[in-house]
Amino acid sequence: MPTGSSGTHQYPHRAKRIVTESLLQRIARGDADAVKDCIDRYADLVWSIALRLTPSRAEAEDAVQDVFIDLWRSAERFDPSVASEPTFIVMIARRRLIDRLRRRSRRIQPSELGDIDPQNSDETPDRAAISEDAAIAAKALDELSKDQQTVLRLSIHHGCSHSQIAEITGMPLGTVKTNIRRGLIRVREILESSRSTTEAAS
Amino acid sequence: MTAPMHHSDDRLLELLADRATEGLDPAQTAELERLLRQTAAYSGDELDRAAAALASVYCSAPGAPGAPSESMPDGVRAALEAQAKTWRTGEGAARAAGARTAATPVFGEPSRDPNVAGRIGAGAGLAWMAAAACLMLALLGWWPRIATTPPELPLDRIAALPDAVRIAWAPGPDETGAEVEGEVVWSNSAQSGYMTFRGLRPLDPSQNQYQLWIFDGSRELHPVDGGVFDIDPRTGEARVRIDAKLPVGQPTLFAITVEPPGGVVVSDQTRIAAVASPS
Repeated sequence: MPTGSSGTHQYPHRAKRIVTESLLQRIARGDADAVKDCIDRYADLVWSIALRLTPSRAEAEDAVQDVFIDLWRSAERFDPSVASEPTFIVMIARRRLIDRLRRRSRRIQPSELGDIDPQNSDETPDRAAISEDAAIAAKALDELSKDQQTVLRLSIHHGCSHSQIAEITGMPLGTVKTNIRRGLIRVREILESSRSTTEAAS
Repeated sequence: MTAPMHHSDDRLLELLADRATEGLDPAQTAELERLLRQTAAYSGDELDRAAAALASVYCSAPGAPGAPSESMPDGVRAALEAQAKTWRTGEGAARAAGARTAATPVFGEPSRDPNVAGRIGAGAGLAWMAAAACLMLALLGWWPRIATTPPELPLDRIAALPDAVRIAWAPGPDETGAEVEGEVVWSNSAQSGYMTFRGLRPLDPSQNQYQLWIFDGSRELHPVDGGVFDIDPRTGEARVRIDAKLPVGQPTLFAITVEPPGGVVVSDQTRIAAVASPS
């Protein structure tokens, strides 16, 4: 994931500087090259998200095609004052993938994910390698309760349903939902606050 | 600046959180849309963005399966690039020309989002054909060519070929195929075949058409598009030549889906009317 100053990001494993500003806006304007650029820049990110939210690699291969069509069509809805481009991309991708999962009535089974340790905090991010929004979200995670961190990781990272999380953690379903909701609200508040601060400073 | 979230909006926030993490059913979606219309405090995307930011955090965890260090497979990327070419010459070009595309039919599967609900229609035949052609060219680029398309055989001769298989249709989950009868006849050596149907509910061709998909054990990606067809409402029967858009190596399943007029390049397979499986 990218890092860097506003509008620019760097992927350490690619060791090249990438300008992320306004790619989706270029697509919305009909810039033909931007569509290909979108694949070059975000294919791996979308692929990684698809692998989390599809029950098989074959499904993921199908799903990414749908995701990118959605991205191109949704490009005009991107507002850089509201979210970073990678966050918008992941949001559209997740919606599409979750939609597919629901339509197929086929959730990812925990057994397909290998052993899940609900308390595992080793899955902490390399904060030098993520986007600005993600870096803020990573800090926001530290402010959440352990239970909130756990249910959000199982839901968003492992693709577990709320019922599956209740089974894995032993929490009542209502508690799972409450922790997810409150955790997301807190992360959202911190993201908005940070964005407002940045805008005020610029 | 976005307004802070008030915890008195519990039901709305519950639905937003559910949508951001495991999606909503149609009734919940309708309820959410109604609640959003009643307030100006939320755009509806707030918790989706939070979940997206967290997803980016988790995907950046070192060694995590699916981390961005795992690149998209070359074959998938090539298919995407073929798709991009189609976009650029079709819908993307229309956007560049200033034409709004809400009603512009394109390939893909339906979306709940009315902003992205464009579908294939009669007026988009050329765009769809371009999409199919681009995808076919891209696929053939990395999949070994299995057979050269042979001259078209008369249907009656296909069943007499030594390797021809005849498989009876079975109803799929969609109610349109509840009373389906008939068979699919396919010869791999001739790369030709046909289908017969009785009891498959006739559709209004301006709304939907049936489309054949051939699942091929030698392929990893999508099933092969076998063409679209209609059922004659007067007789309730049809005999249809299979129009496979790609060579078929090892057919493992023939499936009939209900799709928008003209068919789709990638089916979401939510409406499967009939299936025929070589045992």
